[in-house]
Amino acid sequence: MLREGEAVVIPLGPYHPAFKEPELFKLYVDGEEIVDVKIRLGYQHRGIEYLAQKMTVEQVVFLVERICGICSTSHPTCYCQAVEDAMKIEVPDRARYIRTLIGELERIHSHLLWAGVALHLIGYDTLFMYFWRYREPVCELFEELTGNRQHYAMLRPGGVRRDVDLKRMKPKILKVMKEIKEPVLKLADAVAGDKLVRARMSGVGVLTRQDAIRYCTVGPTARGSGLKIDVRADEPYAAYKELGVDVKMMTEGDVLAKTLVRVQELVESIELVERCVDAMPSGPIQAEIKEYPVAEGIGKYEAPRGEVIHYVKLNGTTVPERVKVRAPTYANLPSLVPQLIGYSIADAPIILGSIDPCFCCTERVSIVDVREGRTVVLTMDEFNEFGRKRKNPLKVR
Amino acid sequence: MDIGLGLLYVVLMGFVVAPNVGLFFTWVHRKLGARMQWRVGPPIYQPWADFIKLTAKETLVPATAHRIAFLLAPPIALFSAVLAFLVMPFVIRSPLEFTGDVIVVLYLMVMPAIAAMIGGSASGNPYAAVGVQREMTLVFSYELPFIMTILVPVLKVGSLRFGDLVNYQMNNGPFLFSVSGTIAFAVSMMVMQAKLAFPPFDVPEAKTEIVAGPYTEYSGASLALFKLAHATMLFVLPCFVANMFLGGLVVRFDDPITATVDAILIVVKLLALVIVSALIRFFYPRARPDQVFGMFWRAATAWAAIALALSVISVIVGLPYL
Repeated sequence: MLREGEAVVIPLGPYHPAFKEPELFKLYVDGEEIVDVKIRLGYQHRGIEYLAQKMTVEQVVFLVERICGICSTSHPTCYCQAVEDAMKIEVPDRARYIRTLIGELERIHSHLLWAGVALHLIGYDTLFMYFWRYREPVCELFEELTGNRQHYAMLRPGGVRRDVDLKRMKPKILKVMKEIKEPVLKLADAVAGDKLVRARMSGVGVLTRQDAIRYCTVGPTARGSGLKIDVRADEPYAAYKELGVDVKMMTEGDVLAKTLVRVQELVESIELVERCVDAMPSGPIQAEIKEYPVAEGIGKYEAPRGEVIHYVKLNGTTVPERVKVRAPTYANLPSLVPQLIGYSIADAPIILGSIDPCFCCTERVSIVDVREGRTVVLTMDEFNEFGRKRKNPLKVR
Repeated sequence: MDIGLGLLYVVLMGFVVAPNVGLFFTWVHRKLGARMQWRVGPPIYQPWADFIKLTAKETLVPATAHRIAFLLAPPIALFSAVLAFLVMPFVIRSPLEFTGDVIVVLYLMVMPAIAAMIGGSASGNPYAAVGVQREMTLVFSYELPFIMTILVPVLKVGSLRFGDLVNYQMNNGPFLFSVSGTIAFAVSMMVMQAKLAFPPFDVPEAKTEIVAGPYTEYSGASLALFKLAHATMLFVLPCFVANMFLGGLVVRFDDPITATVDAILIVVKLLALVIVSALIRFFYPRARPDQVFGMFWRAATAWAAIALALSVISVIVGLPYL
């Protein structure tokens, strides 16, 4: 229906304040309504997989940690699981619990961060600041636990790098969890109860269950559409088998459902952290790496945004032959097409934000003006003319 | 009044008082917002510092822009805001007032929005084009209810002169203390928020959607002028609403006590309006454009019509409190 090349043309980009990820979203609009979406990836190619083939297995942990600044323990954990799968290493119990603790704390801070960003996208800056205020104690907790607010460097194949001094940290962790639990629920009520917020989020960007399956969505995006998938429950890693995860799900599939799913997950994560600290066994935190076999391994991890998959191929040396990463946002991006079509430009930021894309840089949005029945699109010059003279070029034609 | 005194009034009130009080009110907004959001907020001189910094920066005119319209728009916005203030009563009844000045002020207060549209469409920027389109629709949707609310006091007094409106309120109490006046006041507060493009009506400048709307291409001194015009409007609009519904902003210099009370009342009225505006601004998200236009076309217009009908009845029947 839509021909490309004739061109475009309200290029909303390359710099756009709503999104920090360098992706090109071409929104084809008729008036205010979006009729088609084209997505182009690859603006943020950093050659991480290539670099991974130049480093030793243990060095790659630090490399994959830098894939994402927000879920900075998801990728190393997933990679370590892949390596352990290839090497057939048993991870000590205490290390599995520490991995769970760090992973769940990360989910809490990531979901709080997302909630703030989402509210900022619909112009609700006050609640944005409130959410980020409660993210702060979690970051401080991280600094005390690991030495860093972000990029914790806790993981290594076969275990974790640092032990957690439970005697000192347990009361602190429980205190922070108690401190943020109540306010988070209150804020969530404020979001769900606000008439204007509901008007912006409810019934907007609906992803049906069928589409969620068809587009292979993962994480909260899928769970907001009634798809009960969660690696933590389906193929438990770390200590999730012992701790048990109650997978949260909503069926509406709109932005509000995806928001509420994340809020429920927040509460679940807070409870998981409390259970994890209570049940943490003592013992060693590292397993020895005895040899580097010729083998392949796959790691699966439920990051805050959905399922991460790492594939590692070892060739008997200390340098991996191949490392392959599949991030959750990559799986979720195509599902934006059915979510965006039929809604207005003003809804686009919050819909794009609702899958919680892993932001790191800028992104591009272009709009092609398409009139019904004919593919009349404006060229840039025509559009500029339109802007200057207020003469509608669509009518001139 | 001779020409010299008139000029002095224009310079002092228009170019010293109005922009500076406006900048002070932007600081009140920013500080209140910061405190509400668990931030520290700027020091009191920050709006002035921002203005000076911006004037020192280079003004870039995009190659696609219509140069003259692009550069003329910010001064038009500022001067209209200042002119609107000059005919309104503030402390004293303005020496420039004339019969029908309410209508002129109504027009002058639309001018900053129109200047933004001129500048935005002259810049040739696509975001600005979307912003201009939204701004235009917004103006069309809020002007009708706004004019209807203004008709409430005008009908009750039977005059289109600020001085008469204020005198009437001094003798009979502010229009706020009547049913139609309360409704009209509420609607005009809503319009004030939209005229200042604050949430929930900040669709023309929606940052996360269209960058800065009409102001996207502006930089340096011309952006500073737009910001100053916006700050001045933050002073002019509360003045207008206070003169219309809250008993006016005139000090009676009969004896020291009334004068002091009146002066304090001026400060209280203006600050109260600014604080209410800040509360609305920071406690609401941005509505979608169609929701905003719907709010004005349906709810605001309906309430304004009710207020208007009540005021007509009150004039005919002779019930001042209706």
